[in-house]
Amino acid sequence: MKKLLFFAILILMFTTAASLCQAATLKITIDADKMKPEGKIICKASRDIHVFGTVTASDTGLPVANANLTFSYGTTTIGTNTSDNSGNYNMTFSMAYEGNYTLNVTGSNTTYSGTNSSILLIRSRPEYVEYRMTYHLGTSNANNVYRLGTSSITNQTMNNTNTNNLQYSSNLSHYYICSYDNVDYANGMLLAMIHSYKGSYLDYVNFSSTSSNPNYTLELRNKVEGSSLILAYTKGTCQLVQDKIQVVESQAIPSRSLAIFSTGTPSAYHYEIRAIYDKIYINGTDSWTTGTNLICAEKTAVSNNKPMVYVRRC
Amino acid sequence: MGFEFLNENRGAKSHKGASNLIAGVLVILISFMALALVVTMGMPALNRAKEAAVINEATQHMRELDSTIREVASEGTGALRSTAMKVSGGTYSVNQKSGSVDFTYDMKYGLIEAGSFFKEGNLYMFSGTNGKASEYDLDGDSVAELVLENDILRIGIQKVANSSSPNTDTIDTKNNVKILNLKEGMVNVTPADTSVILDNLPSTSSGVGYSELVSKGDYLSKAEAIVHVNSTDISYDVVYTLPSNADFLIVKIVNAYYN
Repeated sequence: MKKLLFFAILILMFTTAASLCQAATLKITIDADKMKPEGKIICKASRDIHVFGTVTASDTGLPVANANLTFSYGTTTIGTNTSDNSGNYNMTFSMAYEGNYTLNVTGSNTTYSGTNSSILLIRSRPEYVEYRMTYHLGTSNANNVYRLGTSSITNQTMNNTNTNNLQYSSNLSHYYICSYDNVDYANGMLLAMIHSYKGSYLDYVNFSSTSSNPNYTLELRNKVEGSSLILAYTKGTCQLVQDKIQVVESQAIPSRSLAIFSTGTPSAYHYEIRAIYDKIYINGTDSWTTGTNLICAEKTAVSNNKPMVYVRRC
Repeated sequence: MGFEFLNENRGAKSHKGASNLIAGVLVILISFMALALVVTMGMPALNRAKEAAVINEATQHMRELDSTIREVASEGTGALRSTAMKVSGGTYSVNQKSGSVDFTYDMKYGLIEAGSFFKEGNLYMFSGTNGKASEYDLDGDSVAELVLENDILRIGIQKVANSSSPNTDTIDTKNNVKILNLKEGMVNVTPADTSVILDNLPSTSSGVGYSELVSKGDYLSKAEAIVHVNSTDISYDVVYTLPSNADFLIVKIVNAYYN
């Protein structure tokens, strides 16, 4: 009986100590002028970032004045400040270099301590782009079928339910998402979003539909620099895309139209070679033709971390 | 007898003279025919060879220029390189609007098949002539679109302001592609949403901006439109390219940076 009482007291002591420990924390909120809806702070290098929030005691919910706050990333301290009488704090700083950081705000006073963190992305250029297509083929989506470039190719029918089928590039054998209708159209009609460039530059493809909407949505998210999107709209079914995908994967764009059309061969036509850049701004308006031309390329500036090259006759 | 002999001799001489003349005429005729044959048969081959030389030369020039541009871009501000280009055909131009250097050449001898596309590093090759870029109401909503067209497809891109008043009109990428039309069977699809979203930030799908055709006209190797968006967070261009003879559109983001 004594032993039981002893254990009960022990448990009570532990519980009390634990609750006291829990009470002894600061609840710190983090907000920023550059805070995005998904909870990340995204800003360019060398630009001011204004971080603000409140400090409250987690047990009472009351604001904590004069809490000492330290702002840091990794092992580097950005600065320190104290909360005001309303528990509010603010801090303005800038980051010199681009990169992915975790901003830590650590607070303490004689009674409490606590910490909170936020993702801090310093960059001048966006990394990913998401392309979206919301539509249906034919009279309704009833006869539409969709397909993703997974290893086991499966045609998925629309069944008027809430569907979300997101596949990251690691789950895909081929980098496309496609839908078709071969009931309303005898030869079939397809619309496909095909990733152009290396597979590692694709983030995901996604199919989504809701029971209340006659349209459905295809999405493809890939890297801004290097890759592009091939939006195919042609006759046939998604098998056509599957059959031609090797060409896209090997040379970034299809070498000819995906389906066969009898368009005739013109007697004369244009041939064009285009040099286009993701990471360089091209400036200039000069043109030159037959003869000997001296062409100059000059780096005139760096804008948004991207070199600007002026190409001209000289 | 002698007289006859003389006459016979005379006749033989006369025949010999006539046959020499005929032979001469025949030789000239045959020479002309041979020359005509050489010209008829040989000139296309010569022109084909000339066309091949122009294409090879252009490919080399563009590779060299591409390498020079990348080299200069990797160096410090003020870096300058010059390269001599001996051009025997075609036109080279710097296209600031699309941020590219372009080579165009009118092909007549089918060295590269019309309607073929190829990509090599930063270089894109297109061939064809049925690209058309114009402005008219394609979807029947009484508002003109930027229409990219070839023998297979017609694509209506929303028309908003222009580059001379770039930040006055609001633009929502949701409406970027208003209609896709397959000419064979006149099959349309009118998307409800064609948004472009950068870095998962919903705010980037709209802003102020404009849209315009890169070059207006017929007989183009590709039809191209640019939609410029200046959103709260990011400024960027969406480039829509419809190559000649293609049943697909190439969509690319260029000039994107955080504001």
